[in-house]
Amino acid sequence: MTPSLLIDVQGLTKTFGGVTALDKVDFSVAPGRIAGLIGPNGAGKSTFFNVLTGVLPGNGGEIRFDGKRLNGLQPHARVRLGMVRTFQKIHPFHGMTVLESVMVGCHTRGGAGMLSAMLRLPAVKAEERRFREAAEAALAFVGLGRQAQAPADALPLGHQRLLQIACGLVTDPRVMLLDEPASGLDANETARLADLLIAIRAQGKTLVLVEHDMSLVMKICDQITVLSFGRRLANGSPDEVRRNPKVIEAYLGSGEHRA
Amino acid sequence: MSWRPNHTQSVFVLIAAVVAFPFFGGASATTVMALGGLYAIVAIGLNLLVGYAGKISFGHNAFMALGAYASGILTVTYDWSPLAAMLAATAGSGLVAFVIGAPILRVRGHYLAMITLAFAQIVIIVSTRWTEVTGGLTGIPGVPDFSILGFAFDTKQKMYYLIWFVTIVLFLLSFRIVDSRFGRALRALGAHEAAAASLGVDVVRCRIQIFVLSAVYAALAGSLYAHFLNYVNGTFFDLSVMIQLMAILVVGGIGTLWGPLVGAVLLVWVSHSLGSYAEYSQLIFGVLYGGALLFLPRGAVGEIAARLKGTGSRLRSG
Ligand SMILES: Nc1ncnc2c1ncn2[C@@H]1O[C@H](COP(=O)(O)OP(=O)(O)OP(=O)(O)O)[C@@H](O)[C@H]1O
Ligand SMILES: [Mg+2]
Repeated sequence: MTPSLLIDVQGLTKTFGGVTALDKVDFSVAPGRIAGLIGPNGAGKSTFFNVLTGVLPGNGGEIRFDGKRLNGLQPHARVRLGMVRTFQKIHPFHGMTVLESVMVGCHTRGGAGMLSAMLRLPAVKAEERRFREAAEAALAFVGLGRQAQAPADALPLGHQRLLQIACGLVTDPRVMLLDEPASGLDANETARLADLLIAIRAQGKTLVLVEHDMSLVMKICDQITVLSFGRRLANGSPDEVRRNPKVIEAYLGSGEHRA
Repeated sequence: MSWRPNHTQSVFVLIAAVVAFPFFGGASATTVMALGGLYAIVAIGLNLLVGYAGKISFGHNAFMALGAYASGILTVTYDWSPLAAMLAATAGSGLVAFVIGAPILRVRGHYLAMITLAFAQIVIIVSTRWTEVTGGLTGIPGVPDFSILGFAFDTKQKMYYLIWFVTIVLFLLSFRIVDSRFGRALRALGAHEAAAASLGVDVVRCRIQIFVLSAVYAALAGSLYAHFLNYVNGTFFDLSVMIQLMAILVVGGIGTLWGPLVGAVLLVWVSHSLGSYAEYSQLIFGVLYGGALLFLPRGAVGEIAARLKGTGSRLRSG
């Protein structure tokens, strides 16, 4: 384990019954970088995020985050350590506004509990104000400032993707794991997303990007890991990966290259 | 419709109506409304659990029973003051809820519904069989009037005001809860558990807390009930009470803050108007429940809010 790595995953394995969704996958990323994780449909990319964030238990391997072992930690505890993710399938919080949804992401920044909510002491009000300001700033940052009061489930898909990013940003993460943030976006939206991700990296955050949009991946990623049938097929710079014959074959073989 | 009352106006109207009711309604109607207040107290807590956190309990009738019996036994057998007995009854019931909820709410799925149903059946059976302590089928007569610092709530009307005071306080607190760090976490986990957890919400902890709070509300209502009737009996809290509570939530509007209040008042009046048809009350609640699910899936309050605004989100979020 080199301390210079923010995420260091060794031999991560996950099976669903007879299906091996992840087969001894190694993955690492240094702070401040954008890592791409690509692969055909069903390769295990989302499963990798699910096990990495604790949403699903793994069957083997080790996950280290800034040197600390994460195995067995609950998802919310991993958020507290600075790891946050978005979902490929959006899950808007029904019945909540966009602003309230982002304020959910402020959860780990405060401590007001059930009883203090009922008493609403000055400290609680101050905390609410901080949350609101942080959430508004995050919404403005991703370009949803004007949608703050809209019901979260009323946003179009492109905006839902941005909302997820805003929710993640307010947790003040060190690393954001983004599962297909560009899926469902048009070319303009995707271009703006690329700028947004670069701006997030400029704040010193690390990004791991699962994406099918190859031009986006090639454009912004410093390193790329390719998964196929749960195995790590290749790992390296965008150029190395692009030229790797195994990668070309995996993509052509499954007819999955959507650039 | 262009005008809709804002929150403050609505609450003001509610308080005025509650204060004025006994002067116009008469004694028997006031008793019915007091009962409505008691049901509303339970429904407000249950709604936070079911409507916001998305967990179902079939045991809140049992928490009412625990509150009522604890108050009855402590005041009658042990001569405690009603207030001390009420505090002990609610705290004790909260502890019982914690012991039940803490292991169960760790697991995903509808185990809470099953476990609470079993728990409720046990509580009701014990309450009618453990004669030395609970008075068996006879119950506990002679529960003293409620009193605070020497002021006795010695008429049904005074109890009506006490009950509705508590109801309105808890009602207003529910707005604070829903619009807080805790409440947002609750609503988020009710909408999508993994998404909430992935933003740092300790899902299990939040669920346990709201389950305990809702049990405390139920016990508080049970305790008030004992002092209201000056009598405790296990049959007051059988499964039909739980069915009524569910009907209240569904008819009033699950996951809306006004829903439990509106539902409770509606349901006690339906129940009261049945009068001699009381034997059919289960059937009628069943029909109401099913009818509401089919024709008013958002409940009365959710439906009205939707008509006024185009969506139910404003009232839902408070
Ligand atoms: N919860 C689950 N239960 C059972 N099998 C699962 C589950 N989640 C994923 N799988 C299986 O694991 C494999 C990897 O799926 P995963 O969703 O991780 O792929 P992916 O790389 O994210 O694909 P896509 O690009 O389509 O999103 C697939 O065979 C999938 O069917
Ligand atoms: Mg996926």
